[in-house]
Amino acid sequence: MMRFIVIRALESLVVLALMSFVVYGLIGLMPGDPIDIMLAGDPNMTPEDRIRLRALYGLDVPIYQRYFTWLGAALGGDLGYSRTFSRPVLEVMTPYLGRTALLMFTSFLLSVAIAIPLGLLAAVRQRRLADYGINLFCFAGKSVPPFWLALMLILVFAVELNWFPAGGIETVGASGFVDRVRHLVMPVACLTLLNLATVARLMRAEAITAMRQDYVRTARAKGLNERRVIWGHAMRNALNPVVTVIALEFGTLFSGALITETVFAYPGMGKMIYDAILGNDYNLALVGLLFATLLVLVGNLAADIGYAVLDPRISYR
Amino acid sequence: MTATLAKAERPSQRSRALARFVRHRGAVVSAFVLVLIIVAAVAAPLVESWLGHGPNEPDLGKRFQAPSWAYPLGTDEAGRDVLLRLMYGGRVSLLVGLVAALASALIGTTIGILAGYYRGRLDAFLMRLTDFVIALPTLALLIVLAAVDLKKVGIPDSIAYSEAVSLYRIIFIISIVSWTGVARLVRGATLSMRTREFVRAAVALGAPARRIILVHILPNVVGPVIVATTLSVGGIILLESVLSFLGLGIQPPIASWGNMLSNAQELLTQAPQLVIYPGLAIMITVIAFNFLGDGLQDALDPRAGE
Repeated sequence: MMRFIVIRALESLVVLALMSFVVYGLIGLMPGDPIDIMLAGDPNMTPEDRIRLRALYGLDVPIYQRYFTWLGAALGGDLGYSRTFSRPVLEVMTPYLGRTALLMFTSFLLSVAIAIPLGLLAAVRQRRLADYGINLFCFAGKSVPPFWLALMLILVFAVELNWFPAGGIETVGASGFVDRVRHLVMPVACLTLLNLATVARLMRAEAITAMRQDYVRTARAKGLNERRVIWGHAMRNALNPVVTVIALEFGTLFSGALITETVFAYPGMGKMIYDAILGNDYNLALVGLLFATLLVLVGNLAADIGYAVLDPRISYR
Repeated sequence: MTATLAKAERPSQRSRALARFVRHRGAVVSAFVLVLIIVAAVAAPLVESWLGHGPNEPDLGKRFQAPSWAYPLGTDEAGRDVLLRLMYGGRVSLLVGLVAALASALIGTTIGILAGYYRGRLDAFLMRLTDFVIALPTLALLIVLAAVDLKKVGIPDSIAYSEAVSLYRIIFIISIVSWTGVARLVRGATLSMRTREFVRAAVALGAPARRIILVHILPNVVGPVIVATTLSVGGIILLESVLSFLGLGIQPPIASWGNMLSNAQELLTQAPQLVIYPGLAIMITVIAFNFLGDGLQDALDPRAGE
């Protein structure tokens, strides 16, 4: 077990290293040169200053050399400064990271808690009204443009009904726990709805497969009541493949979080990365993307381990 | 005569698949809806000439107009015809969806067949690559790719800043992250095909790898590829709309369902219908493609759909 975890963790590190190189290269290709931005702010600079500045910031060497210089500094804990915030990147990012983790984690738990019973219900009532209803709901959830769902939630619950605030994380001046929760409701609901469909559909398919197995027939033949058969036997076995897919859904969950945060003006990692890219804040964008990747990888890893724990038949490579 | 009789007695693979497809009511309705949407997109220039104004002509004297004969769905915040913009936007969404789905299918099928056929180290490498791409936070990466300055990649100004380039760019960047599903599927199918008698017979007869792949394996994995490609169109249309909404996809003045919504937040209180229409258009199209894919799955691959 330990060996399995270590190998998977190492694999994740390799992915992260590759990603850092790819993103580092891509960030260098974005419009606007950091030196040009500096020059634009000071009309007294000459072309010679420009060359000197490039050398000073190490921009005159090939990209792979720059990457390794950056990597060395990053591993030493120096992730650079954010241009727009004029503060160390890590310091800027930490609160954003916490807020995204809160949003993603809450939505994730909620969507799994709703999707599993929903999928199970659809499987039990196969080809009946409840099944068709749930199926349609899932198709809609998979087909709705995520940002549009967010906009519709705002239209209905903020503009028309005025139940919840349309965005942000707290009302200016009126801080407090209830106020913060009220701001969280719509982003969480949006992300949960987006994530629900995939899990529910898969749960339905797996539960249907499980209910055809011999152990379910045996359980029924033993005279167990239907509830024990469904929750104890069918669900327990259907859960394993569902967990693996949830693992692969972490990237999608983050994409959803990015959109949700942007529309609801929720200051999380997704919105931070988006704003950093649009604002030419290269260091922040780079580190933000890497932490987002890390978040996804840790999610995948956790789900992999969960899978191994859930299913004792798995042998750890 | 005898030939038709024999056919009637034993329905062909194709007619049985068609029968299964027709039984999937959602898929049939979706196919019909998609035909309507395609007709609307194709007919856009025709409607434009009837109405006598273009989709990208701002007229600040006619902002937020109610529906009328001249403007069947009213006008938007810049006084442009909403119906025309929806129809032209549909062209963009369908084009991006179909072309990027085909391109991803092509990449995915190539990678999947190579991995499944040659196995060993190549397989391990390609599947690691697939896992790598799957593990990425796709949208954040696409935003970076969409922001890349084409001039810095060495593309001349005349192309890099032309109007149509946002269209090609979006097709390209979506294709390079969307092929993973097809690759895994095709690899699995190729692995199982490889053990079948007719493939082993071909190997034993000394057929070259290229011939085995193209003649014996490819035709047998086409079914699942068609299903997966159809199912991916919806997701790609969604991705395009998200990027355009964020201002990084299709660039104005070209209308797309996504960029029609980029001012949505301000419009929500003033003219919610301008937010509702493009979103509904996207959702209906994507649902239709998803149902169509579901129906094709039942038709072409009856055992997988259960």
